[in-house]
Formats: sequence, C-alpha cells, structure tokens
Amino acid sequence: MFTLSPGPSPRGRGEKTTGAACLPTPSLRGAGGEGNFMNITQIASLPENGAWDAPYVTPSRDISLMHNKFILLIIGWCSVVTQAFAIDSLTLQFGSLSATGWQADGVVVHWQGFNEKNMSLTLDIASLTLPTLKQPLQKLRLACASVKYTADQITCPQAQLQIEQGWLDQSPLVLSFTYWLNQHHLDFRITKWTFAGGHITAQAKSTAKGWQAELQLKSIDLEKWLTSIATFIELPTVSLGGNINLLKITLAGQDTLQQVQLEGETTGLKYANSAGSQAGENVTAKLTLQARQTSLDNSKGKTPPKAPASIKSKTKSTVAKTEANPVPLAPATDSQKVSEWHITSTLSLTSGDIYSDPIYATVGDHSPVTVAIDLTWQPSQLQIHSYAYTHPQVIRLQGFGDVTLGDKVAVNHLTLELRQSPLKAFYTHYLQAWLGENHEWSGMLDGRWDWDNETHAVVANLYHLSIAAKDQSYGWKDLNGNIHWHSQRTELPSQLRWSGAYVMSKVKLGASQLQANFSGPRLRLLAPWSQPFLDGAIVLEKFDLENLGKEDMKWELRGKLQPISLHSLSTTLGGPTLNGQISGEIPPIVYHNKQLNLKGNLKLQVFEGEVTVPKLTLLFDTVSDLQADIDIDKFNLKTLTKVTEFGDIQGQLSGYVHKLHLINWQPVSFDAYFATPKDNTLPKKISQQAINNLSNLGGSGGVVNALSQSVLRVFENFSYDQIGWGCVFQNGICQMRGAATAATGYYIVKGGGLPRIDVIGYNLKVDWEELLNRLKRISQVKTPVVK
Amino acid sequence: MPIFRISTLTLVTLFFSACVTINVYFPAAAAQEAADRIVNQVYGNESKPESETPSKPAEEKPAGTDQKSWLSPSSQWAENLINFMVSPAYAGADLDISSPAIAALTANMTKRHQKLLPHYESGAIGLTNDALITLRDPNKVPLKSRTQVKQLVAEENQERLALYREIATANGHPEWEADIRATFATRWISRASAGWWYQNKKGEWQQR
Repeated sequence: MFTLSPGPSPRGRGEKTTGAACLPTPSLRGAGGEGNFMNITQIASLPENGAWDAPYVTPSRDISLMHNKFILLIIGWCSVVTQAFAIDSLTLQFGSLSATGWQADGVVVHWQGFNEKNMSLTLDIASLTLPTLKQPLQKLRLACASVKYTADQITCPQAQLQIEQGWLDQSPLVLSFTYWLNQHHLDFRITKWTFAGGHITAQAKSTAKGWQAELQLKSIDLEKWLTSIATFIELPTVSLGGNINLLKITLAGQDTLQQVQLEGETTGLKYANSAGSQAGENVTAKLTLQARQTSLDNSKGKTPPKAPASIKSKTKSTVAKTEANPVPLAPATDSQKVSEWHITSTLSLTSGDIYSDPIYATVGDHSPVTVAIDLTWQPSQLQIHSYAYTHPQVIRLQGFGDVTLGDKVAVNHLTLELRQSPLKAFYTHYLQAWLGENHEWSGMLDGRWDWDNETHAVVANLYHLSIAAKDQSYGWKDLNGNIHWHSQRTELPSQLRWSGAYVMSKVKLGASQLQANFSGPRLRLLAPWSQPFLDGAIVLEKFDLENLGKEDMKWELRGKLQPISLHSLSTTLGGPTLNGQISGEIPPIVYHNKQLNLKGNLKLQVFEGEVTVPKLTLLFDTVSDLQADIDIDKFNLKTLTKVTEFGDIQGQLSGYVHKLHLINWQPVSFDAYFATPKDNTLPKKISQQAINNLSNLGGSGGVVNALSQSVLRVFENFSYDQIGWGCVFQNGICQMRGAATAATGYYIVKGGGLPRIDVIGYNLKVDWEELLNRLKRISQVKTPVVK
Repeated sequence: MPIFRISTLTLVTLFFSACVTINVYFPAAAAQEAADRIVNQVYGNESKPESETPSKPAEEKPAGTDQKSWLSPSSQWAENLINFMVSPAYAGADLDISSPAIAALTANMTKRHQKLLPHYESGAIGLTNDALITLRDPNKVPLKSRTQVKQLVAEENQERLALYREIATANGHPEWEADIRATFATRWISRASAGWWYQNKKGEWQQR
C-alpha cells in the first residue's frame, strides 16, 4: 500500500510556477503490485490556456512506497495524462520518500517536452539515506536530456548522475536505461564512470528468463578508492593499496542470485590487518571464481566428497584413517529443498611478499604460486572436493575435506597431502624468516595429514635429508626414514636412520638409526638407541617424552656411556693428549617444568678413578641455574698432571665439590676439597714445578727461589705424606684450607721422608677473580724454574 | 620487696627493649641509581645526560609487608612508648646488582637492544608504563623480520621480568619486586632517546 496526501510546498502554498504538475490532490491512494497500484480519486483540472495557474500542489512529505518502480510508473501515468491534456513540462516535488531501508528527502522530478516523443528528465534528491552508508548522500542529480518514450517502452540513451562530496571523483557518472512497460524488462548501463584513477562500467538486464548484472573495474587505485568511500562506508580495519587492473563481476539469477563469476587482476597490491598478523606487499595476482547455485531435494542425500585420484591412490598408508569418510546429510523431509553453491576458484600469485603470522613467504616471477579450490557450500555443510597449493620447485600441497557448519563448526574429515618437495627451497621460501638463517638444508620431504572428528594422523617421509648449522656447531647427514604421528594409536613405529652427524664441528658421530613411537603428545623409544661417538657410543635405553609442545613438557631418559678413549676425545677436541677411557652409567634423568633432575648416581670412569654425581639439578630458565654435588675417587695424579702441565705429581687424589651452585654457569657458591686419600695405593712424589704451582695457589710465592738457592735444588722430586687443598666459596670470597692446619696457616703439601718439604698456605681468603688469576698463571708456567 | 621491685622494673625494661619495630624501607633512590646503571648499559648511553625526568624518585616509603611487629593495632600506645624508649631500627641500603644472574640478564638485554633499536626508532616498538615493551605497530616492521621482532619482544619482556625478580631476590627482599619494576618503568622511559614511543601513566602513547 502507499498513500499520498497533500502537504505544504517548499515554496509555499499559492506560489506560482511556470511548470505544470499532474499530481492529484488532495490524496492519492493505491495498492502495491504489478500494474495495479493506484486509484485516482481526484485530478486537478487545467486552465484553457494550458498554463498551470493553480496553487502549487505537492505531494505529502510522507510517502510510503511498496514498490521500487513507483517513479517509472508515475512517468507512465503522467505520460497518459499529459497526452490527454497537452502539458509541456511537469515538476513533482516530494518532501520525503521512504521505504524499508532507505529514505530520500527533497525529491524533485522534472519532465520537459511532454508533447514530444522525446522529453528530458531531471531527478534531484537533496539527501538520500541508505542503511549501508555512514551518512546520507547529498545533492544527487540524475539528468537525462533525451528520454524517448512510447506506450511500450521508455528509453534514456544517455543520462548523467552527479553526487556532491566527491563520491564520483568530481566526474559525472554516465548511464543509460530502457524500460519495457508491458514486460517489465529493464536494460541499465553505466557506460562511463571515471573513478579513483580508473574507470568503472556496469550493466544490468532483466528479462522474463531472469536477470544479469555485470560490473567491471579497470585501473583502479585502491587507496584512492577507499579514501573516497571511507566517508560513507564503514570499512573493515584492513589497509589496502595498489592497483586493481581488472575486476569483473557478473551476477545472474531469476528471482534470486544464482550465478556469480569473478575475474580480477592486481598489481602492487598491499594489504595489512590492524594486528599486523596478515599482510602482503607488491602482490601481483589473478583471481577467477565461478559459483553456481543449485537446488537439491535433500531427501535424496548428498554426494560424498570427491578425492583426487592422486590422493586416493596413496590411502594405503599405515595411518589409521586416510580415506575420506562420507558423512551423511542430516535427516530431511521429502518436501525439504536445500540450495547449495558449487564454487571453483583459482588464485595465482606471480610476485609479492606474503606474511601470515608466523610465516613469511616471498613469491618470485619465475615461480608463481597457484591456489585452486573446488567446493560445495550449503548453510550447514562445506565439502571441499579438492584443494591445491602449488609453488613450483618449492612445495605442492593438495587435499580435500568435509566440514559441518552452523553454530558449531566441526571438521568431519580433512586431508592434506604434501607431495615430494625440496626441503631447502621450502625452508628458504617459508621458514627461514621465522626460524632464522643459521641452517643449511637439503633433501626431500613428503607427507600427509588426516584429520577427522576424533583423530589426527601425520605421516612424513624423509629422503636424504641433511641439516647443518652455518657455524658448524652441529650437523646431521643423510637422514632417511618416516615419521608417523597419531593422536591415539600407540603401536605405529617411526624409523629414522642417518649416515652420520657431528657436534662442535669436530666431534664425529657415526651412522645410527632409531625406532620410536609418536602418539598424541608422547614420544618414546621402541628400542634402545645407540649413537656411535668417536670410538665409543652413547646408548639411550629409555627415552620417554610427554606433553610435547605444552608448558609442562616432561621427559625422562636412562642410558650408558660405552668406553670412549680420552686419547681420541682429547685429540679431536684439540687439547692436551689424554690417556685412559671415559665410560659410565647414565642414571634416570628427568626434565619437568624447565628443570632437569638426576634420579640416581651419574658415574664416569676417568683418570683411572671415578667421578660420581649423586645430585644434579639444572633449571633452564631465562638464566640457567645449576646445583650439584660431585665426588671424585682416586684419580691417578700422574695421569692427571701429565697432561695439564701442572707439574708431575704421583699418588692418588680424592675429593668433592659439594653444594655447587652456578648461575648462568658462573659460580655462586661451593664447598670443594681435594686431598690424598687415606687408602692411597700409589707412590707419593711431587716435582719442584708442582710444588711451586701449589704454593702459588696458596699464596706462598717465592718457594722456587728458596729451593733453587738451597741444597734442595739437587732433588727433582720430593716425597710427600699428604696433599690437600679446599675452598669454601661464598659471596665472591674463597675461604681456603689445606691437608692439615699449620702453626701459621695450612699445609697444602705435607712432606714425608727426606728431604722433607712442606708447602704452607698463608692466605685464608682470596677473591674469586684473584684465584682465577693464580690458576691462569699456573697454567702459563710450562717449564720448571729450578736451576 | 625492693629486690622484687627492681627485678620487675628490670624485666619490664627488658621487655620493652625487646619490642623493636624494624621498618625495612624500599630504597627508592638506590633503586633508581641501580636502574639507571642497568638502563644505561642496555641502551649503550652511559655518558648520556638525562634529558627529561618524568618522575622523581619515589618518596622513601615503608614496604607494608616489611613492617615487623608483634604488637596489635590496638596496642599503638605501646608502640609509641617503645619508639620513645627505643629508636626504631631502619634497614635500607644500596641495591646490589652484581649477581651473576643480573649480569647475565643485563648482558643479554644489551646485546638484544641493538636488534630492537631500529624498531624503537621507527615507532614499531614502544615502552610500556609497566616496565616492559610492546610491538605497538607491527605494520612498521618489514614483513620478513616481523616474526623475529615479535620473538625478540617476547624474550626481552621475559628477561625484564626476570631482572626485576632477580634484583629483589639478590637483595634479600623478594617483596620489593613490584617497587623495583615501578622504578624501572620510569627509568626506561626517561633514558629513552628522542623519537621513541612510550606509554604515559594513563596508558596513552606519546613520543619522546
């Protein structure tokens, strides 16, 4: 329904006009609907001279419209009336026109030349309010200089639309239209719209079979465009720049939208969301999209997702569930009709930098990225028939899936397959900016990821994979095998084997292999893993990791060190050549809450004696924190001093470092003591050089001079009863003690037999830095100074 | 009886003498000095004069949790009497920032600062009013290095929090952590270079 009632003229009642009005007064009432929308109850009569001299009659300020074709039908109606009354021109003024979703104020329609078959039409709207706009459009003018009308059709071959506020980029929009009155067909075209550095054309056509609309943008500067429309439209918080070379959108349908085609090209595209997590720069891309709506009788069910043949052929994986599981549609009644959209789209990136937190990827001219997707969308279901991401010589991904939409989104099935891809190129293009440039990669990788309602499974196959730190601190060579991870199954084995590895650039690790199981957040060895290490091996008999990737990650290991010769170790590391072997048991070591704890005694056989670590706690936080107790038992001093240039000492040495506390590997406190064991079984001899060094340690410099000036200089070695030295370190000060208390200090060396020589320390306290300097001086002494 | 009176008097005197309220004050001036030493080392501007003093050192204030007294509030008269008889003991001294942990954290932050510097200058990173930093405008960071800068910011904040905790712990007063952090909040900003962005007390971003 619509109503029309008289209201005050903008110019005031009684004002004369040179034009004419054909509007009824005082009221116009009618019913909405095609071809039957009004009943005229009263029509103003015209004077004989044809001039309108009646008070200016305007429609109401309040006109409710139920039909968008109101204006055109008014034109048709007026054309009939004016033919009957021979009117030259007609002006209509509407205070306000409104309908659901829009309102036009100050509407003036002016016809000129009613007696011709060729008339002009001007439509002025002072203010047009639309719900999608932040503020009303002001001062719209649509002017058609030549409207051709017949009883059958109305045609405007060229009209101009102007809007204030820069909407149209200071240039009028040129359009044309034809309306067939009987068939209610419309042909509408925007033939020229210069906008944002480019231009826009559009056309729309409605026929009995349906309608079609096409919008085409060329050479549009995105930034200018957004700046222009930002005043009126609430834009998403995404910054955009660059050029749209081409954007062509075609829409078609009957009653509703049924087909969409989109084709676009951009150059220099720049985009970024406000959080900076998604961004792109200098992107050159092409996009095509086709979407078609079809109606289904839902009672017949639906087609299960189609898997590409290449993926189906690989479904005999050891992963539990690798085949797409058709998921039936929700039950439907026979009368239920469901419409669905079938969409295919291809996006091709020929150049640009893409950032999707945390991945940064660069696309070069010679290696364009193509993304293709084929899917069917229903309000409650999304079937991805195929998905492909292709970056030639870098990575190829493809997959398919099935997702339930609605209030609760659920993945019924999703498969993603990585075709064999070179790891080096993949790392360089996608991971390097994230994980750093400190590694070199080579080899190939493929894999597959299956995800359904209940389980996830990943299979990765490695082919001749090698990784090397650029500083040569470690490397891994020729790694082959497969990794199976499953969210639930615990029996799937992963196998890896490699031809070699190295640490600290020189320490070679031999070929090895391991068998493990990855299940959920857990990783465990399925068999003892032996890693050859120089001429020995490190054997892990147990390794069990839980809560992988979580804050409370925990692992535990246990193993042993098979004998490694100190000779090969010292030669490899480049220090003084050592003799003997190092071997031992690795007790259970537990890591939890960033803290590593020893659950037993760590024992190493070295220098013909044994080192025992009964307690060790290491906190891996922003600053490392280590606390430990270390005991040594019966080191052979001859073996030890032979390689340290400390000076020869024969005998045995036992001792401990208790309450050792290191922060950032710097000592904070400890209680250390080393001395000749009571059950020493070796001869006890000490050289002049060793005496000198020990005296320096205790702050008794000048012993050598005393020795060299006495008869004792003829003796190269001296017998001793006991050697002992200890330090309680706290607050930067080392409180020293010796093997026994002397009258004025403490014995570092307590002589025995003849000639007897004692080394007595007098300094009870020494600063840590000073102690380090003394040790440094000792290490620099290479030859005895006894003459 | 006189003996009894003397003994009672002695006991009462000893009793009140034992009631010493130990007020451990947060050494605000020392904290500011310590903060400046660390901030200057991290920023690499030891010789740089302070161009602005947005906040003066906080008034010496008693740390509430350090009020050691077994007297109830209702016994305020008794405390006044004790204070009259026995001068309250004060504890407050320079802050020690020489522990290995503090040295390590400061060294790490100094090294990291060189990587963060261009992003302070571009305005991508700003100094927050709670003594941390934040990536206030990620879009000012080149795409290629954005993830790494985010990681650097996270690491820096983790170590800053550890630093405030370590200073408090190393000086035997873990409860000072909040005060130390508040002190650093002003010092990081006041020693910042011109052009850097920082949050004022209202949380608004401003440029030095």
